[in-house]
Order: sequence, then structure tokens, then C-alpha cells
Amino acid sequence: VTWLSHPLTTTALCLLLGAAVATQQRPPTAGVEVSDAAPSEPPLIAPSFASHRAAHEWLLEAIRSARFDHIEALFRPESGLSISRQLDLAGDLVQNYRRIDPRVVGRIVLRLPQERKSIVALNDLVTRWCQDDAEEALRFLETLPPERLNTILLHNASWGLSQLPADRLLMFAQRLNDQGRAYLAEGLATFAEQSGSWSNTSLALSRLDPKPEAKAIPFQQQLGGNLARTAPALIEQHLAAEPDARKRDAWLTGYSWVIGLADPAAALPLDARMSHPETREKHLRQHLTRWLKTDRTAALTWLMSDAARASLTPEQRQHWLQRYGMEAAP
Amino acid sequence: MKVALWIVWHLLAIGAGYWLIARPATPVETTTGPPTKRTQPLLANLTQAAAASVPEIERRFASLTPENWANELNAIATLPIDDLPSALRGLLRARFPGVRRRLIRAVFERWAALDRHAALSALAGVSSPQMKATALAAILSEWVKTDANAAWQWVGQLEQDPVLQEAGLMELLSLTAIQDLDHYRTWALQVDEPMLRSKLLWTLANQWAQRDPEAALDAALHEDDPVLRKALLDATFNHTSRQVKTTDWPSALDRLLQLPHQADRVEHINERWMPAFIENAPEAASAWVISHSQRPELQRPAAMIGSALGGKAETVASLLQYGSQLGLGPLRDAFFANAAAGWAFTKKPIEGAQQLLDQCGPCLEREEALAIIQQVITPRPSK
Repeated sequence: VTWLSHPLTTTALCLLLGAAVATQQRPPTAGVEVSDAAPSEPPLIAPSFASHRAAHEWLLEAIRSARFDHIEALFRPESGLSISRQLDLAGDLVQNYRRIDPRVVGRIVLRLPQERKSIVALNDLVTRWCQDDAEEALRFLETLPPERLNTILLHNASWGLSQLPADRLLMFAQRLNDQGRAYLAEGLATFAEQSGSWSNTSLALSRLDPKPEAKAIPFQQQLGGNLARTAPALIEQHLAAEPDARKRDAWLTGYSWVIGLADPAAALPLDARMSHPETREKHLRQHLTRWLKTDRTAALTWLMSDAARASLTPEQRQHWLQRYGMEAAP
Repeated sequence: MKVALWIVWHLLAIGAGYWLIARPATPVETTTGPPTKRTQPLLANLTQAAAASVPEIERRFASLTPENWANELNAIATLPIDDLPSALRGLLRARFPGVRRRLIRAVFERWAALDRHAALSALAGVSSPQMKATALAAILSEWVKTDANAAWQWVGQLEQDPVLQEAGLMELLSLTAIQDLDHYRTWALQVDEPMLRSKLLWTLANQWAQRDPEAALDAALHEDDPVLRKALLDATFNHTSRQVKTTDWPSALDRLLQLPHQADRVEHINERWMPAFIENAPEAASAWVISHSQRPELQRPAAMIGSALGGKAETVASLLQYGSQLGLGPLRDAFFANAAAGWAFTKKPIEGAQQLLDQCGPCLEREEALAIIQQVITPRPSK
């Protein structure tokens, strides 16, 4: 016991105590640290609101005076605020995202029941946050439970995320399931022409190698659309090298969709190259409809031509021509 | 007295232990995490002491909010160079992304004006790619004033960070393209990587149209590259359509009809110019379509006019009179079918819609109008 009361021992213990406390407080590394800690104590029981407008005005005033702990308390069960009003106010919070600490908004939205309004609020929050500061937003994404993370949210987030280094994205992708990886790839390909850098995005896409997922649009389709005007020859290279017929159809779908917006006549031969009969039929129908409504004379001339005979069955040609009171010549 | 000294000594020891661990490990300190409830009372005095060692400017910038950030703009413009690292550290700790992004530009503009090399080095301490791109844009905006060539060269060697490099290239193009559009057009068209080439061409087109929309439209009419042509046409539309009152719509559309490719004519007239023309001056838009009714690519604009007039017209006669000026064929059919749908949709006597439809031969537009009329006249099932 005597050594415990020795000044050297007590001084050393005090040094250790100080160090231990500092260790708890210290941030892990450089970069903007995302704190997921809830405020230490609920500051008040929420006021009762006569209308959504009253609640909205209270919220705006709380934002103006930076009373974020009060806002957070409003969304606690004990505040007595109905779930439906909480959902509406969460939407208002996201609309004012730039005036609030996004981590506060994130915590609030994640506590709400997972339904349409809260899903939209979370998607909007993540989209905006990723555009402003992808690194900080990614750290928030890394805290999401799988059922909130592996969704179309990743498509929307990709505009901002595409500006992160491919290695950082791939490290994040390890947390995702197949659906999450497919949504991330879909988003990265969608925004490849506008955001980030293609050399960075293409590296991420090649290593992501997502499996086809029913809910996500294949990234090949998005890339086909993006390259349709800028590098059609590159699409042809991919088509020639792609052994999987579904992936080739995905490339062609994006390619013909963009070309067909301005030039349905040029899109028809691309549609005709699709291997899946229903996909081919659907796209031919869309482009013929568009052509007939923008330049009917040229479209009807094509329907009577050998090119149409090569792309359409006799029944299909007859179907289209009949609608204009015409007969298909054999 | 001895007890008091003992207490002070041990408090100092706690403080020393805390300081050894808590002192900043990196040049840019970026913590925003609040202290935990458990340690808060115990450390109240110690954190005050620690806070005193943080420069005042860093604390002030870290606590900026959307309500007061703008007050700092003047202060930043006169900050001495020694305060800029603290200002940046504080700014990166600010809780609001919008505040960080707005002020980082001002901080780096000031830094670049005082010491560009130090500003470029400080970029490495910024982890967010968007923040970094904004900071680089600020540096470049100062740099091009004195040595644009050196700025281009510096950005050109940023290959290890292609995202930042592309952001830098687009910023430089925005800042310098206007001085020699032809030179930068030639350069951008030679860029191999298609996505980057496209981004550069769009940036160039925006600068072109911003400086002189007329010249940009003229350039589009003679441009062979489809991406730049589309970018010029879109940028011209975006800049021109903002000045609704001064826009000479018929003259702009007459020029668009000179585009050599039908796909371009259809896309830009149908999707951009005609809807805006109809919205701002429906009568003049109708007259313009009549005056070009021999052009088959105006089938869709005729349909748009039909929808607009069909919803507004008070008598069927006025619509019949307008449509009769379009020769028999696709434009006339498209006009009458859409006028009938527009008429029916606004709950006017359904016989009028039928009268209009009688003027229209078999076509897709007619089938669609019939479906709309059917929808309007079918009573909704009562709940």
C-alpha cells in the first residue's frame, strides 16, 4: 500500500489517466471525422404543433439558431410527434440540408420507419452530401445497415462518389452485396460522361465486375448511352469482344436509345442486332413510333423498303402499314 | 498548503498525459467529434487549456455556420500568410459542407495570391475531392492572370490524380478558351479519351455561347464534329432562351432549318426551341410553322401547336381555319389529332373534338387522340 501513495506512482497514474482520456477523445486520422454519436441528452420535450406549417416554421427557426439537439429530440418517440409528421419534417430537413450538420439529418432519417418518404429523404440527403463532400458522405454510407445501403441510393450517390479514387471506391464496395455493387456500377456508368474521370471510373468498373441484378440497369447499357455520340467505334469494339448475349443487348440498348432520340432511322439497324426477341421487338416498336411521329413520309418509305423486310416480319410490317391505311407489298 | 500543491501537481500530471496524446498529429487537424458525456465534467478545465493553444482563427472558422460564414469573406481577403494554415484547418473542421465549400475558394484565392507554391502544397491536406477541386479552381483563377502556360503545364502533370486533373483542365479551359476559341477547339478535338473530350467540348461550347450566342450558333452550323455541334446548339439555346423578350425566335429557327443533318434539325427544333417558342409566343410560333409547312421534319411542331391551340381555342372554327393552312399530309394530321385531344382534355363539348378528328387521316396521332377522347367521355366508376 505504501508504494501506491508514493508521489512518483501517483504522478505516473495521473499521467496515464490524462492519456487515457485523450485517447478516447482523439480522432483516428486526418480528414473530416464523421461523428455518429447522438447528442448527450434530450434537451426538451417537443412542442405540440397545430399544423404542418407550424411544425415547419418551428423547424426553420431551430435551424436558424442551430439548435440541432432540439431538432433531434423532436424525432424521438417520447416527443409525442406523430410518425407521419416526422416523415414530412424529415423531408423539410433534407431540403435545408446545407444549413444543418448532415450527420444530424442522417441520424434522424435512419431512425424513421423505412417507408417511401424516409427512403426518399435518405436518398436525397446522400445524393447532395456526396456532391458536396464525397469523402465525408462515404463515411456515413459505411455506417448504414445493409438493407438501407444496397439500394438505388448508390446510383444517386455515384455522381459524387465517382470523384473518389478507384481504390477508395473498391474498398467501400467490399461492404456491398451483389445488388449494391450492381447499383454502384449502374450509377458510375450513368455519370461517367459528366463527373469524375473516365480512367478512374473505368478502373473501378472493371474491378467491381457486378453480376446482373434484376432491379439494377446493367452498367453496359448506361455506358452504351454515354458513348453513343462520343465514341461509337468504342462501343463496336466492346460488342465484338463481348461473348455474353445479354451484355451485348445491354450495350445495344443504351446505344440505340441515345441515337434514336434524334435519329430513330439510325437506331433501327441497332435494334435489329439485339438477340433477345422481346427486347428487339420493344425497341423497334419505340423507334418506329418515334419516327412515324417526327417524319412520317420517311418512315413509311422505309417500311416499304428491303431494309424493313430484313428487320421486320411480314406481320409486323403489315401491322404498321395498316395503321396508315396502306398494304404491305410482299 | 502541502495538500494544495499535491493536488495542483497531480492535475498538471493529468494535463500532461492528456496533452501528450491529444496534441495534433497532422498539419491539418480535422476533428469534429464531441467529447463524451462521461469525460466532459472531468476535462472541462483541461479542454479549456487545450483550446487556448488552438489559434483563435482556427476556432472561429471551425465554428462557422450557414448564418455567419459570409461575414468572413472580407477577413479572408486580408489574412496574412501565416494565418492561412490555421484558417484551413478550422474550415475543414466546420460542420457544414456548404460552408466549407464556399469558404475554401476564398481561402485558396488568398493563398494563391500570396504564395502559390504554398497553396499548391496545401491542396494535399484536403481529403474531399470536391473541396480539392474547388481549391484548385481558386488557385488557377489567380495563376492564369500571370502565367497561364505554367498553370496548364502544372495541371498536365497531375496524372496520379486524374479526377483532380480533369477538374483542373476544365477550369483552365473555362478561364482561357475565350482568348482563342479556334486554338482550344483544335486542341480539345484531339484529346483521345472520349469522355474527357466530350467534357472539354461542352465547356468550350458554354464559353462560346456565353460570349456570343450568335457566333456560337453560326459555328454550330459549320461544325463537323457531332459532339461539339450538339454542345454548341444546346449552349446557344440555354443562353438565348434566358433572354425571352429579346430572342428573335423565327430568325433562330430559320437558321436551325439550315443544319445539314435532319437528325440535328429534328432534335433541336422539336426538343428545345419549339416548346420554348410556343410557351412564350404561341401565335408567332403557329405562324412560323405555317410558313414552313412544306418541311416534313416539322410534323412534331405542328402537333405541339395543335395541343397548345386546342386547349386554348374557344371555337372549333378557329382551329379548322388554322389547320386548313397546312397542306394535306402529316403536318395537318398531326395538328388536327392533337388539337382534338387538347380540346377534349379541357372538357369542351366533345362534338368539337370529333369535328377536328374528322379532318385527320389514319395515323398514330389520331389513334392516341381517340384514346384520350375515350378516356374523357367514359364516366369514372363511383367509389
